[in-house]
Amino acid sequence: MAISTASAGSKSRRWKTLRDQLPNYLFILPQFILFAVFLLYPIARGMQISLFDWKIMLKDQHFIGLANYEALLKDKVFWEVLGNTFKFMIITVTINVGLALLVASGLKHGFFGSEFLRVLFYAPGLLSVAVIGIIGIRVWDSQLGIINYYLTSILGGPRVSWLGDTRLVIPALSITTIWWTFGFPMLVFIAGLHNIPENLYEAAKIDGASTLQSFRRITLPLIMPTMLFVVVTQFIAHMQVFAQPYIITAGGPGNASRSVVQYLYETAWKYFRYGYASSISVVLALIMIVVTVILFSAMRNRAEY
Amino acid sequence: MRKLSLTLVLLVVMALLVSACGGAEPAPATAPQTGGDTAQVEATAPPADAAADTAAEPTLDPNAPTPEPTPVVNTFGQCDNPVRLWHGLTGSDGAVFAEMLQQYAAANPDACFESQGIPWDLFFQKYPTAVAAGAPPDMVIFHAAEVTQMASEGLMESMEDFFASSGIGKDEFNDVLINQITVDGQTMAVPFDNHGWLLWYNTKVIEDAGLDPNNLPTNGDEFIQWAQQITTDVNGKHPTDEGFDKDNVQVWGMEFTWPRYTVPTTLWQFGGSVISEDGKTATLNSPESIAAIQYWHDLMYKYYVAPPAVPGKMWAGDLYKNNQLAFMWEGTWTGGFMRDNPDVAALTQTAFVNSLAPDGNQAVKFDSHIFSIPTGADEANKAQSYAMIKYLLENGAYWATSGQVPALKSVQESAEVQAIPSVAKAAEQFNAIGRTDFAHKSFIEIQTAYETAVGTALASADADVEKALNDGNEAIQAILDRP
Repeated sequence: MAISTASAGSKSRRWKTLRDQLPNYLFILPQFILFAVFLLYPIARGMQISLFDWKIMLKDQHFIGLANYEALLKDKVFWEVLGNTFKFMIITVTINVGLALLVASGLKHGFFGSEFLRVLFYAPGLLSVAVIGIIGIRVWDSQLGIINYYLTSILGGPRVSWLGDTRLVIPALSITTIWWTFGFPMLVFIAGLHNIPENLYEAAKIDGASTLQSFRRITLPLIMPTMLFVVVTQFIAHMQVFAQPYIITAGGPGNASRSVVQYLYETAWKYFRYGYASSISVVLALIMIVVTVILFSAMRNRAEY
Repeated sequence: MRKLSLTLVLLVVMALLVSACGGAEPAPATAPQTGGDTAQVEATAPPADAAADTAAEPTLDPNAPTPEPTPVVNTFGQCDNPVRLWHGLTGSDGAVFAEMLQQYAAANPDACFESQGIPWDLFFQKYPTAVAAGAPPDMVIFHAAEVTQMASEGLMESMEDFFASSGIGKDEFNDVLINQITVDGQTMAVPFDNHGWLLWYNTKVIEDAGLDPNNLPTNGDEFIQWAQQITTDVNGKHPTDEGFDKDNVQVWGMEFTWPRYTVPTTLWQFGGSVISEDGKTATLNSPESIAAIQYWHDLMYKYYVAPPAVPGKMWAGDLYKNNQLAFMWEGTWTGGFMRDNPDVAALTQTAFVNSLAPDGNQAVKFDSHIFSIPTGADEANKAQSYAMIKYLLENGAYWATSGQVPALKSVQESAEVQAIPSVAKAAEQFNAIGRTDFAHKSFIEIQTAYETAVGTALASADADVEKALNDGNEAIQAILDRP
């Protein structure tokens, strides 16, 4: 009897909790429906398609198991474009984060013109990627580009084939992307820096700490949660780079600047190999999940809240 | 730390200011307004940029001019079930096409249709998905080169009915083209035009070099010597002169234009190819093919008569219009560019694409905009679609004002078309030495593979042409070997 009463009480509490939380679920529901229809279902469907030699007009698709994944492992172009993407991501994220943190450290303190500079540095982020691409073409052009103009006409240096040299093309694309995107991490860092109590710096100053020591011992540890957010979002964004190489170099010279997402796009929409393209997307997603988890583990342990 | 950060901020600001104020592209001289004694190129055609002619490849190839991103919808007549036409003519030749549709609507008051121009890359996303979803348009226009791939995907219906019922026979078109669009014995499309490479040459540049524009080089060996006399650096020195400044060339002999046309054209001139006739073997690394691409590499990095073919380089027309380029292999649609630049047109003549092969062998690539009926299109609208196709073919002379060659031979021979010199020359050239791309179910993938290989081969002076083509050949063979 006692058990029965206890069980009824527990049920009643659960029901009450559920009833209390019902409005929360209802608030979430519209977004969840959109998420499920436009994200969860396509993800599941993409994983399913990756197991088929998918032809868009066939009613009965040909199941091939893991054959697309086996082919992907042997696909030289895939590994080449994956390497390009990692190279681009590492350069872009490293400089973007470092530069944004340094600039944010400067702009954190209000000084004459600091508000204007924040807007100025963020401004390129308002441009569409198509505009960035066209600017990139003009800036890096080996014959008529502005960089080579300064290099040859002002500095008397050699004419550099920025987009034609397989060693330089990805750094060139990275620099273009950094100019375009570094305003966002800068703003996030400024917000993060404002959350660090000023009295910590004052105490350090009284203790005789140098500016560099304050940065290393106070700023860096306390900015880690922000840093984690910035690094992870930058990593995800730049692993999915598509339009900059697509517009500026079309992936060339050869495959030297072709990214994974560009290859995925071409495989699906130019070659109509939907199954294979799906397997590329699944592998890319897995890689990004694994690296994100590693980043979380590595950086969360160093974060101080 | 704060000082360091402020210094960095100031440096960034200075860099931005320098960049913003520089504006310092070395401004090329504008073409002189010298009038038109030597004018051979019509300046009447409406602009029809090359973007209108890009194939399934997104129109972002460095050599392809800027695409028009916005779909253009034109509706004619009012009814519940209009004939829906999708096409990629979103460049300036799209304006000529829209005028033709207006003329068709005026001549056929009962016609009811909707024409939608979609940039090619979006077109090739929408087209298969619309067909698969059971809601295709009634009619589409794309390129002959892609027909085999689209047909093998089951996206097209045969057009044999059209040829049987319209009174227009296949023999009224270029037979090379009809072969290309015939899959398993069924002709899958109806050609609207022939378009492709033509030699546009700047007579002023040639005469300034002391050469005769009426006496052009006829083979690859002659061309190198000729181009070396044309090419000059900023100090007026030729590549054969001591102290020639290869980093500051002022006038070039020629430029490596859009690989999609330039590569097949050169390969065929040298007797090479991308794949064998039977479609089973990759031949990109044959001795002939290697010689063809090596020739271009030499033009760029050994003889310095052509600018390096690097990604993102400016369109050849930018050099040409500033009298910095003598020979320009460009599309028939360049007629539109000439219309917009009458001063340049006055200095321009056209000819068959010059041979770069040592033996002077001639060949040129051409393609075609084709009409097709998608799989599952509304049967009720088919008769109207056929009527529109027939009208557009028979009135193709107006299409010639966009620079393209009308597909019907009888229209090509009409006085109106012959009155447009570049179109008349292109028609003659395509019929005499024109070749079309190979037909294959993985055409676009193979095309990307050879363009990638050639891009690697020509990217720098120290690029290994043979290795790049071997790699490309291996990639193409892997595609061919796929079941």
